Amino acid sequence: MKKMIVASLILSAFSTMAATSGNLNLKGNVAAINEISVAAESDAQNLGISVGSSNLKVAVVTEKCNDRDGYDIMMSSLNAGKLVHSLDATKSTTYQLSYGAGAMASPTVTPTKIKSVASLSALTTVTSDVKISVTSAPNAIAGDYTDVVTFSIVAK
Amino acid sequence: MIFLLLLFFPFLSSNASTTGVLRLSSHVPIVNELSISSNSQALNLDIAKGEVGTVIADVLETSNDPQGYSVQISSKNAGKLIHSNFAKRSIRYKLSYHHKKYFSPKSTLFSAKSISSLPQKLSTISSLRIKFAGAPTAISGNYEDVLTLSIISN
Repeated sequence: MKKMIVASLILSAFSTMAATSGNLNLKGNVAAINEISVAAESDAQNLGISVGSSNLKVAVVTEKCNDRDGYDIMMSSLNAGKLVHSLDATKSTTYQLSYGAGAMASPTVTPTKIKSVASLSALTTVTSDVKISVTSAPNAIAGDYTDVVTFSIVAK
Repeated sequence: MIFLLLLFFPFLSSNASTTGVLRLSSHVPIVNELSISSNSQALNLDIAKGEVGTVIADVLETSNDPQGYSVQISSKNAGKLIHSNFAKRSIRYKLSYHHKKYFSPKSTLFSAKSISSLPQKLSTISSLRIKFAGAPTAISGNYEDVLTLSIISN
């Protein structure tokens, strides 16, 4: 009688473990990639102030993204679109930049959207040329004139 | 293996960035230029009667040096018009540059004008005047000197 009770308990235990199907959960993750890199041309350090420059290529920007909703490229300028004399901030000349196929625009201190990609179907790498037009300043005082432009990639 | 990943991770993370920077710069070199437009009187000075503030040249100065510049003058004969055949025969003269006080030129450079600073590239015309007392008994012949004008950054 005792043996029957023990056997019955064991059988009951097996019946709860055994099934005709089972689930195996699988999961993978692709990390978000939003990368931007700027390769400056030598002309970026040798801009014409006295005679100005027109549509001069100064950099190639490489954009890399895998966000299905796409991304934006933002641009800002330390000196609000001006090349400023290193010793006298009151001396400057303005310039405009074009990005990719975009039109010439005056950079501002506040980041401004200059390119928008609506959606992506895969990890995508794109390059965009940056061109500059500098307003000539034939009476410019001698010295170095500089600005720093920051490009950002922002996923949507 | 973990050690290697830790070594590589900082390298990868510094390359991959959501921002990129483009530095723009240019250099405007210093320009100092001077050109002399001599008047006909410069080669037709009246030795016998003398000259009183006669303009002998107009000098065009151009500079973009923020520190300014000076115009310096020297004379081959140290401020004397010397007879071309008799060096002992000479007439002393004085010059005025840009309406400044008259001075006796020397064979060494003399600062005739000084600009302490410039707000931008500027071009200015300055007159060079000569004066000397007449020498009615001067021996005939040509009396000459050569002036050299230079523009120099401060």
